[in-house]
Amino acid sequence: MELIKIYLTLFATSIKERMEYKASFLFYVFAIMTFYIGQIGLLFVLLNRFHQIKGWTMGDMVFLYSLHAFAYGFTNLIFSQLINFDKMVVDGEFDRVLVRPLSPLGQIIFSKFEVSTVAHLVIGFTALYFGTHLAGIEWTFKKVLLFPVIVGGGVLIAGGIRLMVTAVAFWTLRNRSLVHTVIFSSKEFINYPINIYNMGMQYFLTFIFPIAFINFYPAHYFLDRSGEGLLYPALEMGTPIVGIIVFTVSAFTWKVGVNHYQSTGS
Amino acid sequence: MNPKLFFKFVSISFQKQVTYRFDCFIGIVNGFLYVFIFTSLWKALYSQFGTTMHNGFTLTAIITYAVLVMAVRISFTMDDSIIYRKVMDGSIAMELIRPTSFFFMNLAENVGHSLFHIMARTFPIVIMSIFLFDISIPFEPVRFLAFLFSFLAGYILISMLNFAAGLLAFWFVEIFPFMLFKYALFTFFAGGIVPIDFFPEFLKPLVNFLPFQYMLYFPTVILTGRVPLAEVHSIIISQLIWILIMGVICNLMWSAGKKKLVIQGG
Repeated sequence: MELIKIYLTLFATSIKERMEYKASFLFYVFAIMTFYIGQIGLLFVLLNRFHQIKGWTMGDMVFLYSLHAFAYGFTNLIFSQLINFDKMVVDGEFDRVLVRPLSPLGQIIFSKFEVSTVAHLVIGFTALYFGTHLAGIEWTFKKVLLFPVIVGGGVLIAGGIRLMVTAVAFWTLRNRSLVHTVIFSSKEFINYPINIYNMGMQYFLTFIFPIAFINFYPAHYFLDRSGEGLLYPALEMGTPIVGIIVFTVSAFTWKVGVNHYQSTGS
Repeated sequence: MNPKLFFKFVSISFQKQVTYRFDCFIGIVNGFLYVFIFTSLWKALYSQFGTTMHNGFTLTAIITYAVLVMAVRISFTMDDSIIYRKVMDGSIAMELIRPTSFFFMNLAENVGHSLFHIMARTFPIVIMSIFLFDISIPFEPVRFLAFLFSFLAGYILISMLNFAAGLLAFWFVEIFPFMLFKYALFTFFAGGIVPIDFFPEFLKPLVNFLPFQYMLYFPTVILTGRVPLAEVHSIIISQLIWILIMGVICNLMWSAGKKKLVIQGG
């Protein structure tokens, strides 16, 4: 109980910190939304000309995008501090975390909340609305129930990957560019259905770097698609399981990293 | 500014980059990842139709465009947070007492940064792509010369855009949202992902009103051979006009900003 209270205090402080400059915060949300609208706009430009991408129409693509936006929105909310983790290690700030009687990972996660998630959620819901409309998704009770489960699985996958790549900083200290490539640039892969890539890449995005489970595979279920993608339909509902596996492996790597950690002395 | 001094600054900034070798390797992977995604996307889109020509691009032409526009974009890599950091830590005061123009100092720093990325990232990515993808670049020395002019003009334009955006730090505590907003507009309107030719008619006036297409799209299409040589001079003249406009904006902002600036003793 006491523990939850402490975490909640950390959470509240981090939100207050973020809301210090209100105008700046609102403009930040606006800027993020402009970026995502631009991305969807480019999809629109392409589909306006080509009508579909490998059997995926605008509605399907927008739905794909909404799953993506939700998963990354919540991942940003929870795991944002991990992006600057190498700086914590280099500056010796991580030492402070270690001497407190709380879980190091818990402290890092609860010390910063990226409130810009608001922007992702607005984009997510808008895309969900238009995706449903354009693709004519029939929302059954089961689908409504499974949607949050899939998003949760996606958060575990994206968050687990983040945790894994930041844990590299325990060994290499600086890893900014690696973090940037693995976390941000790789997102670009799943802006499009992964069956546009060659087989090798499809296997890579399914079994080694499984971000295809964030949107591509579960989207088949919600859109009632049949017959495409690897091993259809065995992987359709794989997201929560893959999420748990990825997160467990990452948490284990992180633990090994903490034990390996030696202060930089700064 | 004295050219000798200018090149001295270029060389210092270049050497700073060389120290991050691991980052550079990741940078190549990162750039190549984008090339891979966009070439896959175009192949998937084109494979759906019997016709091989869309909006004036054959499949080979669009793949060539996708590779080269990314190459140009990577060559334009610069650190757009330099001015912000100088204002925040007060070292901008040093720039004010130096007998050299702050704009040219900043440009020199950018050029050093970019030169490194051209040698370490652009060249390897282009060479790999030539072997991996079906691309064709016309071999005409005059065209290549015209491209170099247009490329330089585009470079100066981006540099000015970043300079003006960085100067906003004189007025605002937090300029990251502005940078993100700039990035969002740039991503959509510069033609870095989808060439302007594919944009629907109703967007054309907006595209033509904004300077972004002169930064990536036009230098690239001059190189790929899409623009007849006879039209090249009018493109370069438009670029020069934009440099003039941006130059006036930068100058006004710089002189207004200097008056506004308060240094808090460091």
